Amino acid sequence: VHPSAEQEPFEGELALAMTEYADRQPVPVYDPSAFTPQRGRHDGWALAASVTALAAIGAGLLWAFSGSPSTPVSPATHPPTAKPPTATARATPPPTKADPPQLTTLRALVTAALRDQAPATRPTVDLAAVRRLFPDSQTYQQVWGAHGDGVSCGANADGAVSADGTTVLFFHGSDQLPQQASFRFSADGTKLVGVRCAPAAARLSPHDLTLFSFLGAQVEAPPGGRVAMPCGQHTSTTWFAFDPGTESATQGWQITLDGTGESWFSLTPQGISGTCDS
Amino acid sequence: LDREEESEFAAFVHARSAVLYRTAVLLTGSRDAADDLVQGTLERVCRHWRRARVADSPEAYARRVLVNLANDRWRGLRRRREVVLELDPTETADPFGTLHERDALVRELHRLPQGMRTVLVLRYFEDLADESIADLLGITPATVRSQAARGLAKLREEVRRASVR
Repeated sequence: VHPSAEQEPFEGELALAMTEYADRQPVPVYDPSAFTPQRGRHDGWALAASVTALAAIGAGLLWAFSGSPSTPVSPATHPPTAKPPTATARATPPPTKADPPQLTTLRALVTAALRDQAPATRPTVDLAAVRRLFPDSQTYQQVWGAHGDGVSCGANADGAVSADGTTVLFFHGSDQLPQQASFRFSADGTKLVGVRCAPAAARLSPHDLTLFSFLGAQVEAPPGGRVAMPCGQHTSTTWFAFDPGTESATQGWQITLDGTGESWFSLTPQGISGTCDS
Repeated sequence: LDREEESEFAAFVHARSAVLYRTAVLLTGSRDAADDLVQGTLERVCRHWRRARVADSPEAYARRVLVNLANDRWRGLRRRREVVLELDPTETADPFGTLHERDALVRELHRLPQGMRTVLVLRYFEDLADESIADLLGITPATVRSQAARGLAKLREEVRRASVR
């Protein structure tokens, strides 16, 4: 038992030091509604017949968060010469364990959808391979929609992030899209069987801005010019960050650029760092 | 969650998030990491609110989640050999010098191994009994006492060295 009254002077000093230090830290205000589902906005799982219907209004639903560009850029303005990266950057060795099937399936789906939405990378999408991610053609057509926009809840996206391998947030440039998609998988994780769209629940902290703004800058040039990727001259058109190695929003994310060239970057508030191994 | 549960959760967030954040700052030594931890904790507590509200107390449930997330984060940092535990700078004026000395103590606290640090934070900041700490961390009370004693000894030694310098 630890009776406070019996603390030695040093222990009392330590307790005071902790209390004083902690009390001096400005405490963020947490909005409970950021963690609770929006009541009545959608109910249950729905295959993308309803998702596809969102396409008509998706472009009008873009919203910007503080400090980010407020004007979305049409994918038509993306550089048409973008090519898949030819070198891999590794700040640290990638995880040695194999990705679970569900994550592999999700990554294949999201990266293919983002590439299909970008005119520059659309020709590289293997729709037959995409079709094989679904149990049947009907599910494929319902979820995929037109050029993969069903996957991103009807909106056009060029970036995505998923921390749990199930729910995906989407971005256009550095603007987060208003809807998030939660995917359902077959029991073995190799097939997509459903998607549910909902208002994005995640609230972005200033730390998150580094991840999203920086990767957004890969596809949307900031006023000061592009931020160079660590390996060569490639400018990414689409990105998907997933499977963070830490709880930090700015470090340890595995990132796939343009659907190929899986890379392992270390993200810091100063940007991406890494070393090329090829 | 139904409306009543949402209301309970909102009250919990308003009442306890500051305490969770301060504990997280002490566990991580970083405001940004603490913010990430608290957001992750609240998200999980919300997801399992029905379980949390009938547990011993939602606060204890949240504290357990927070400590587990902090340990997960630490393991991730160790695995990647990127240990960043620099204290955020504070702008508070310190006319008497005592804050400087106590800040030094907190800096040394953050140089301790994660297990010792967690035990000391829970013991001297959260004022938890050793049995409660043991239950929370899944270790024995004897291990708690051992970790605390070793942590205090290290801190004393570092403070002594600093005073000699």
